Amino acid sequence: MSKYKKSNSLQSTALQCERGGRVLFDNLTFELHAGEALLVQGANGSGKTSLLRIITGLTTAIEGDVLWNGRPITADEQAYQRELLFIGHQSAIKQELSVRENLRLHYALNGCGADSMVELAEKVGLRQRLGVICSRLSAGQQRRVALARLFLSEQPLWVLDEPLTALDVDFIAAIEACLQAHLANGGMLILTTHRGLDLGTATIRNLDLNESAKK
Amino acid sequence: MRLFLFIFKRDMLLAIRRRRELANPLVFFIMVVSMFPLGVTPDHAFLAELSAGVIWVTALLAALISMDSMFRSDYGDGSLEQLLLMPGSKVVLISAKIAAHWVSIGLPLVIIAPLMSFLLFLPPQALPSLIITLLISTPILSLLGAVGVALTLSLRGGGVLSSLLTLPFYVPVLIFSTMAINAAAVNQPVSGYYALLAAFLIVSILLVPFAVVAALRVSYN
Repeated sequence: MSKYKKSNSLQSTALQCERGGRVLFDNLTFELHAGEALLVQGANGSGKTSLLRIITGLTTAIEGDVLWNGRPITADEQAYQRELLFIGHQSAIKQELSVRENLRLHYALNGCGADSMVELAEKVGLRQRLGVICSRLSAGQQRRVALARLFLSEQPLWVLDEPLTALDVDFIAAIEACLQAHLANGGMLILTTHRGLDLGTATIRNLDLNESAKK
Repeated sequence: MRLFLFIFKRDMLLAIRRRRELANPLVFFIMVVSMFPLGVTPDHAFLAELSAGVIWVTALLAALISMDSMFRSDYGDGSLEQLLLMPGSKVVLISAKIAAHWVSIGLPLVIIAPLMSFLLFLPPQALPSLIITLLISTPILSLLGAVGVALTLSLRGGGVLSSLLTLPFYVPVLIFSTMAINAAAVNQPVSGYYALLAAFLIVSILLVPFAVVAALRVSYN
């Protein structure tokens, strides 16, 4: 059963990225197809986050393009953004709002989602805390609120920057199951993590930034 | 339009939750204006002459110190990038944020200004022009301020720099507004000043959102 188009693909032409006058990577290429995961690895400061931001289109690479289905993502930005879910290492949770209000923003950002708010809160284990202001939650709970978007998402391409920080074992298992289901549906996944992750039977491509770093 | 309303409601909700930040410019405005009769002179005639300028300068500075709240907290917690990644027009998104900022900061200043004008003995015949100039011009302050803030988002201590960037663009607004009020105080025609300010407002509404979108791209690169 595949929910998303099998023909989806993401590629790059020789990407170059520079931060603070230092070349982080050069001639970096990758390729990703429906149902596959791309694991971006590298030491701290090797440019993982920069690469993910280039893939989302927030930053532009000095050289090279990211191609979605063969076309540069800048060519039709809105169409690409409809296919993309990005969760950065900042959780984008509004501290002043309650869990319920933050989840409501998720619904608006995703534009869809079959689950009701209560079901969604149940899935991330925050049902009893819907009315709590987010600044009162622990770091892990805030992360759960942010990751609730995964359970709503209908976008084929997920780009996740360190999704597992501050999470407990149970919730990591839930996230793994969610990622596996997404890949089985023909979704695509790009993530950075310093922790092992069980993605089941999906094809996993590795991208090591330490190797492509320019000395 | 749906996007505009969504962002507008979101920002208004956030503004209401941060009541202290909301009250800041207003308290500043009230305090500075009420210090003037104490610090300078309680002489009616002298204060009346000063009043238009004092009220305007204070309102302008009050707006300026609150500019940062427009993007900085959204930038800090990563929600701004999520908003920018939403499919939909970025120009609409930015316009909605600026509109929400004006309603939560500029509009309260406009409402409280007539009260403050009594403290400084503004001639009663100049009161309508005070309100009208503030109504036309405070949106201009929010619009121009947005460009400065957007340009300096990624810098540490960008607040000072953005004030320095924005202030020169505020000067014409200040000059024409106070000239209009002073003209009204001596019963001279004022419609020319209104027309100029309105033209300035329209040009800003049309151009600023595009400039802010471009500035944010620079900040994120």
